[in-house]
Amino acid sequence: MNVFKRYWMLILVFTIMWVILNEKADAGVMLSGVVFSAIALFLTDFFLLEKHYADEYSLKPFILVKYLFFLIFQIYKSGLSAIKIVLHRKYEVHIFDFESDLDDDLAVCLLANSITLTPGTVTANKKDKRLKILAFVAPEMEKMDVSVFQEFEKILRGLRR
Amino acid sequence: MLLILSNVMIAVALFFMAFGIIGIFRFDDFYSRILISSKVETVGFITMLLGMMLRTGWDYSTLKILLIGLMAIITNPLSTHAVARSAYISGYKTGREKKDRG
Repeated sequence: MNVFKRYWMLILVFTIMWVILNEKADAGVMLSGVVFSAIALFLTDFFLLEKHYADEYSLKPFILVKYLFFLIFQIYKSGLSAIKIVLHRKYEVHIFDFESDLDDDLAVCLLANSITLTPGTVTANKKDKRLKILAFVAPEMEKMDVSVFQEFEKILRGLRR
Repeated sequence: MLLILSNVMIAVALFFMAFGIIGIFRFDDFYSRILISSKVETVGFITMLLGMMLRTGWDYSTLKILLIGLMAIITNPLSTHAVARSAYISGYKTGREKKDRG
């Protein structure tokens, strides 16, 4: 019963996923969805995580949605600029160091993922808050433009509840 | 109308994918190819899924495609990162580093 109290939001999300996968929204499917979601969360909590699921992933849904929209916008923006890179071919790859301001490890992981998702940059290594980033740069450029990463950081700073 | 819009989106997705593949052939060093190929699996794939969603209309299939898209956004960068990281740890040099070394 305690599981239902603590994780009602996650159970709701997983049940919606279950309904979508079953392509039916009757009482039986919903009930089985709630039961299987609770079992999955209990097993994850018990066997896979050191902390509780609720503490590990206590994220603000609004911030996640905002982050997702900003990420998709950035993916398209850098996707268009990557066309220029393919056409000109004067750009070369360089490895940059980037130290994040974020204190939360999950947020740093999300930032590293975002960098990899935006075309033209890939995170090659992560050590605590330090990221090694592969990026295309013009031959005369010595430093990388990190303004986009800082925008991501600004959104991810308020990720935790 | 939706069908036309979905066709346009799928065409745009193929356009992005084509550029990604051209890029893989145009560049000759490993890191450049990884950076360009990530275009195919992000911009191209997401646009393709959006086009498919418009094509299926308001249905459970649309929501399934949306779930696939979300899963792809979460898992795609992991594979790219894993390949890039293994190359970096193995000591692969970028084009600029090779130039600096002479």
